[in-house]
Amino acid sequence: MASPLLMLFRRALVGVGAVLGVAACSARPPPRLSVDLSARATAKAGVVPLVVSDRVRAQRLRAIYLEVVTLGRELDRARVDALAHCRAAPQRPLSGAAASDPIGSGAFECLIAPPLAESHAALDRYTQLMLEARTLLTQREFEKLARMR
Amino acid sequence: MLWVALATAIMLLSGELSREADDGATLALLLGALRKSTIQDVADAPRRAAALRAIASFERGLEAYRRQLATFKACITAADQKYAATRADYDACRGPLEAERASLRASLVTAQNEYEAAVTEDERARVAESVMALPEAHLLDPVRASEGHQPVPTRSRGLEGAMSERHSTLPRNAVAIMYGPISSATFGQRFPSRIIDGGTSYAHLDRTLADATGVPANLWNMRGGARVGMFDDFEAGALFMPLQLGPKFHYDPVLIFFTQQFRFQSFDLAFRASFQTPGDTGWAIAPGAFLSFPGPRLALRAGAILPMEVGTLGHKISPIVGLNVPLRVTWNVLPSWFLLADSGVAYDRLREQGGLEVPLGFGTGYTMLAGSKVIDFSASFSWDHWLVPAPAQGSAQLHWAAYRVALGASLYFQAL
Repeated sequence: MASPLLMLFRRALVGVGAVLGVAACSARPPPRLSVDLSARATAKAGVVPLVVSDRVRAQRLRAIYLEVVTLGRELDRARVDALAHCRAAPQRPLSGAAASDPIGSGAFECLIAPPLAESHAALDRYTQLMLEARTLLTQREFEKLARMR
Repeated sequence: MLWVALATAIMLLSGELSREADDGATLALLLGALRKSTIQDVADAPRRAAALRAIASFERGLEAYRRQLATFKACITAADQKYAATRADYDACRGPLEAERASLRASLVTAQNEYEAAVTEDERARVAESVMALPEAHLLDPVRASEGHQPVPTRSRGLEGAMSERHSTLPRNAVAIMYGPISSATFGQRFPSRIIDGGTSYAHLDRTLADATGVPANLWNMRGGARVGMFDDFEAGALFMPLQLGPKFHYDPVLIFFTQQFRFQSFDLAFRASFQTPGDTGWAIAPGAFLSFPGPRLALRAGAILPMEVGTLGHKISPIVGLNVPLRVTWNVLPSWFLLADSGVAYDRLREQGGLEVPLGFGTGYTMLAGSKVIDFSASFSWDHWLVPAPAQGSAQLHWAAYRVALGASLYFQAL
């Protein structure tokens, strides 16, 4: 008969295995920029009140982090729309054979690098939000939150 | 069309068409297929070599772009981590990426021209057909990518901080190592033969109750486990370390639970299915519904649970059915410090007359941030059989001498 300690150890192994198994099953490849930005903001949003005791500052900070998450989604959507637009409407209207030529019509170039206005605007807004967050945080609070992700 | 599709794939790489799919790997697979098909379908050796050179030059440009993309991300991350960062720090991240994009565009256009010059129209059609036939190629179609765009998550996946703001389930990919009382997963886990909560606990029963229930008068337990937010509103977990330390050491049944939550504007509705591995009374199950009203300072949670102990196939018993309606009010005095009160009604064995009881309990806890993890230190004191309003014999009774004390800590972290 197994000793209580051995049984305890086995049960602990089963438990840890179950947790790791679940985590492994939901593993995904490393995220990209918009996901990175959103993930960093998301990680901080919920725990802001634990770091910043002042309610007014905490509320604004949470709003900032949630806006970053929204920004990431908007960026995604804007790029999808830009790509669809590239396929639908060539940048330089041409006639005849040139119109069916993806390079000549500009469609190809548009697809490789669709208009970046939205990306620039989103990154500008992101920068603005991150700088505002710094004005609401002391260095100690900032460093505590930065450790979240 | 093939090259247009590949161009679309570059945009997938920059991360905005699909949030989480491994598009880099998909693109590599498609380029591999393009190379393989070119080798097979382009008969003339010099033209084939020229076509393969075009593909290789495109891959080099793409690789450089991907490296620059990684540098850009690292640059933004570094700026985010620096308290003294200024706009200039963020702006400095963009320049090299823009240059690399322009360079990639040039290399792709050159590669396309060289490739198309090297292959005939028929060959190109065959190559395109075989590459686009791959299931992975659907990612290259912006229209389909747009249609298949992942739904926006409806819930933040970050850890929740203040106790009163927490929902009934953990956010997706959040994990809790439970070794403390008063967590939402053990709320109302009262079965006919035992009351389950996390942490180290000591339960004392007066002689009358000990004799009536068959539970030892002085009971020491230690229970720990884990739960995981598997989806935005679904969690699963188990108390897989359920030990009875005294009066005699043994393993209690393991408690397993699954909770599905539906969030509304001001309240959450959750359904939880719990069951215990066989104990003295066999399997135990406890389906329940819960209503909670989270808030920045105050939260209310109530439930209706039907616990049952049903025996096993080898050891059949007449099912013992109870009813438990727990109620909990949580008050966050500070975001990090909370007090709570528990009550409700419980009828552990519906068949037995006069078994209605009103429990009463109090708890407190301190939530702290430790690096990227949240830790709750919690303690509770409860009279699980506090008031028996209508016993089978005699008048209403108060059981002050039957109490339970529990304490422990739970750790929360994001698994990914």
